[in-house]
Amino acid sequence: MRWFMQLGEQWREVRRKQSRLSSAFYLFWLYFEVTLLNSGASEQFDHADQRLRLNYWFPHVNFQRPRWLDPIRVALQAVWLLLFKTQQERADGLSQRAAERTSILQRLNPWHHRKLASKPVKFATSGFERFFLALLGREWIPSQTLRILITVGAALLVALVISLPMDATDQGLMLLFFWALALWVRNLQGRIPMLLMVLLSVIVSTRYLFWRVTQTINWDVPFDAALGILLLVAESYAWLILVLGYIQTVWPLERRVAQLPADSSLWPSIDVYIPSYNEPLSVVRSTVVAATAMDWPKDRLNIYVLDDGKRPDFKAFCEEVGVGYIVRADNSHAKAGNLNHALKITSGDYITIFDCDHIPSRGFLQLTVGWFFQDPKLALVQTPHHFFSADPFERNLSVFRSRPNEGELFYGLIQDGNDMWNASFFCGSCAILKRGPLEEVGGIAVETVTEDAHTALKLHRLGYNSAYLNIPLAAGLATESLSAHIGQRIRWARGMAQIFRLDNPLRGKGLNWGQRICYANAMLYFLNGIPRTIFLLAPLAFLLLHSYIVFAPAVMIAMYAIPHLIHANLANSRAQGNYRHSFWAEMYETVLAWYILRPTTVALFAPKHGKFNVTAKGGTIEKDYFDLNISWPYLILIGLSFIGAGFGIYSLIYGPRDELVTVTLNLFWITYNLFILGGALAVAEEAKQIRASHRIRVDRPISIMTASEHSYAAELIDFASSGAGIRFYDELPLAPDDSIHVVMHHGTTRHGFPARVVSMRGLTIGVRFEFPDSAAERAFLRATFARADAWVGWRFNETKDQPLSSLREILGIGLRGYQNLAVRLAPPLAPVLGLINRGWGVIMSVLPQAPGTGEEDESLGV
Amino acid sequence: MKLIAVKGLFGGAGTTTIAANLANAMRRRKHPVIALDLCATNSLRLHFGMPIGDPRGLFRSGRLVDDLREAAFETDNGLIYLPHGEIDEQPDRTDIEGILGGLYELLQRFESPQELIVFIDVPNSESTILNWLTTHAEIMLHVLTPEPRAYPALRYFSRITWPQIQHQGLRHWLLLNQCAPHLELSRDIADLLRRELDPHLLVPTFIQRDQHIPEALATQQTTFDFTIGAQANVEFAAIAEWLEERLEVKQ
Repeated sequence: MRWFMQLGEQWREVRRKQSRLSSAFYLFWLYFEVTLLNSGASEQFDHADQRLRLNYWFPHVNFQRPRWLDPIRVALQAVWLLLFKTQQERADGLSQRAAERTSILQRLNPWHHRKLASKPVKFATSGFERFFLALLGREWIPSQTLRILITVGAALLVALVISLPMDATDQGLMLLFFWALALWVRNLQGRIPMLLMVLLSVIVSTRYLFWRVTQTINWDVPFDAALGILLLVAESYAWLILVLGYIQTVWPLERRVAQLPADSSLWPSIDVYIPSYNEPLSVVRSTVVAATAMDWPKDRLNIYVLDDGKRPDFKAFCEEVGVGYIVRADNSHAKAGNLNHALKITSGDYITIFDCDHIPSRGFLQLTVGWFFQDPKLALVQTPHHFFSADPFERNLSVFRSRPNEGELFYGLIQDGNDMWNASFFCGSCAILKRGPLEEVGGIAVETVTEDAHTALKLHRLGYNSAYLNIPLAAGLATESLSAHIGQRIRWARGMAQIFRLDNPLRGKGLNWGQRICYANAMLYFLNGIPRTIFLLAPLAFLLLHSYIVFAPAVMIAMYAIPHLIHANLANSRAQGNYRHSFWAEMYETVLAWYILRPTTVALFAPKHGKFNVTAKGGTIEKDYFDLNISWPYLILIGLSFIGAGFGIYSLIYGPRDELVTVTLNLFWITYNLFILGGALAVAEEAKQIRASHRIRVDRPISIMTASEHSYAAELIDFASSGAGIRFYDELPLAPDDSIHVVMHHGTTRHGFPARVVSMRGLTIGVRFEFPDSAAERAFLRATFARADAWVGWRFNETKDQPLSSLREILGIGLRGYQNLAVRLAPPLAPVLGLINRGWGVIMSVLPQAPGTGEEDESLGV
Repeated sequence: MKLIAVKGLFGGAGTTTIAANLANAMRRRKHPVIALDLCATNSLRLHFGMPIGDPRGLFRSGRLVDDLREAAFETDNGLIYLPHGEIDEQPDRTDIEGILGGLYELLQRFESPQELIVFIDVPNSESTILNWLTTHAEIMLHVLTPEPRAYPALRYFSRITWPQIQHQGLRHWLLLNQCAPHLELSRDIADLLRRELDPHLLVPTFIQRDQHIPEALATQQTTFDFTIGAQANVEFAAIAEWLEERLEVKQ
């Protein structure tokens, strides 16, 4: 009886918010949850375990808002959960097995591991692992002479393997053996197996290139030869970049933080420069305030805003927060000139530079300066540029924080690899430079538009060292649109080409070979415009012009080229997989190729040309649009490729039989190109970006104090410089427009920030902060953007690269590009495509999903 | 048996409320818990729903009960509380030690499969009780609020009280209550205390000002039963877990 009364009460409670049907569903699921998972509110309070919630197991069902197909979803999901292991369970199993394996390895018992493999394989694999571990463990070739002899012998052997002519069968057999070797060591831990994979890749690719150079140019037909040589040049370039890239990243240094002296009176004085030109104060504000909140003795920390825009509101703001404000008479040499001007005025021992949107975390100085005490020749410590907003690729493809972004490879791996060779270079922001050496090279370089890299090069030439600390200690805004992004990359490409001409790292004094290679690779990389365009056009040479640019039987081409591609992919996936997934580079580079083609070529021939363009940031994109100005070159390439594909299919049906394999090969190539180009189209479809300030998604316990001083436990789900999204656990005790305090913890203290509720949905509210003064704003930044650990573990979704699923993703993105294009070209198609998509969406939404992958509530703040 | 004495650094620091809610939080972690009231105001029981007019408790007309069963009450989730009992006059001061000895014996007779944890609400003014607890308790929590008066109280505490309550096996912590992170004065005093006090002396979690706490008492419930989403519950739970580690009774 009591139970019925309770139920009645609950029913009335729910009915106040929802329709009769929804209420029935809601209560049904609630009771279902309690009985099935044996958990009520009290248990959920005690255990932060998501698995006590029905939502964890049925991520695609929203139990608050039931839909018609939900019973099917629940039934399918239940069956699936009962019958199959989820990815999580499999992963747990794997790590368990890995743990078993290591412990077994320690006992060096070859017989008890890998249940699935046959005995000989087991034996060989464990022997291999032991061999690798032994290599890592000690100096395994004691004598220098012996080492040289072995190296020479190995080099001769490699040269033989590269140059030995073979027929198709032998070639195939050898490469199958290599491939098997690569696949075999692919999952073994450690750097030695990786080195083996890299070595295999270099051998196979070099063998391919050797074969191409010596046997595949048809000198008898001048036209074919000309085109063939063009392709060969592009391939040689790709090979060079591949090999240099391996050298650059093969052994990342992974530098740690160096301790500062315990006596803080020994700490040096530091000038912080925040150059700005045309960015709005709303963007610069947080950076300046956060800089004043950095942990460093106040008498030795001077902050200056270097305002090339000469704006009165900036001056007033600087006075208000008590930082220096520097302007100059002219704006010569843009950012570099601005920094050099300030360098003459201030006098700190070290110069820290933050772009005006890079908000430093409070620990920046304490974590970076230590290395200068370790190494007196150190002139530069660079930290990663970390972005808390989505770059155009991430936004337009909706992959923010779920895939490594474009910069990840450079800041996650390449700079760390450079550091091994003492060649990590200055990136213009989030770095600290020593005044003495900087003045010795004449301040920031002004000869090129990439003043940062050039300055570092000059420092290295004078024998100074650089360091790279791979911890994100400041965060900023990514470029806001694809055109701005491309503009920035054009500047980098042009600047790098300029340095290559004006101050070539391969020549001149003062650099070691590692530094020369790293700098050369950084610069050569930006010359990829022409080769990439050649690769996009190459299959057309045969399909449209019937020119045999690779003069060899199709079978031989397949035997040489496919292993070359596969090994390069496997080795790169192993070396870089955590920082860039397979095939994504293709899309990134393809989008840029056309645009950097011209400026790099011009800069190579006339390096003094070209001006500095400021990268636009902090803007909004009001609605979705397709950037036609950006994508027209790709539309032409796509048009040509489709025509080529048409001809290809035609000749597949009606053409001569002996060309079948060649045509098929070219068709595969062109289809791949078409997918990549479709990806470029998809990126050009600018998704809207309404918010002026970007929200950082987090998951952090806070509390809310209402006007009546009731404190509620809550969860901060996102924040921006002006607002936040907050989720309550149990009930929502507020109304819109309520004044509340958001209580955040930083370090051991707590601070309540006044805010106003601006939106509500479910258990989630959006608030707008109302800071009474700049001290409160500083405290807020310390608790959020400038927290010492603000960006640690930011990449929560560290998915391992899986080449095949990456390929699937890229193909999907390509398809999306064509779908968008179809809608642009023929708007009447939109409803049809919409229907197909919706239907597909419904089908996909019914299928089982991995537990715990449910979408978070969308945030509601301003 | 582990005794945890909860004592205020000055009046109105919230000792009784903290003793009641910590005991409840500990009970929710499935420990056998007794909440024991040694304050003559007899208000600990009110947190657990005992009618205010009920005179039963440990003391009856100045005398300790003979059998704990006469004075022990149990809440829905199995927490046992021992009210002080309504008394007409202060018990004879000379015999407090004898009474406490008797009480200790009664508690020791209490059978439980796991280590019994006893939270004791300690009156502010009784030095005899304090002395007795110094030799018998495992942990003493000194509750204070970040207010200006905390400063002189701490000076007195460190000069006079501190030397008297040192005993082998007894550990002391200060617990900050009623912190108001939205008020500058409260925040500043809390920061100052944190900076000046030995960091090992502070309970790492402190309790935020929360209107749910007095409202829960007004309805004679623990805050957990009153509003599950209250911030105070998160803090009581965190302190209970922390105490578990200190007492080495982690389950």
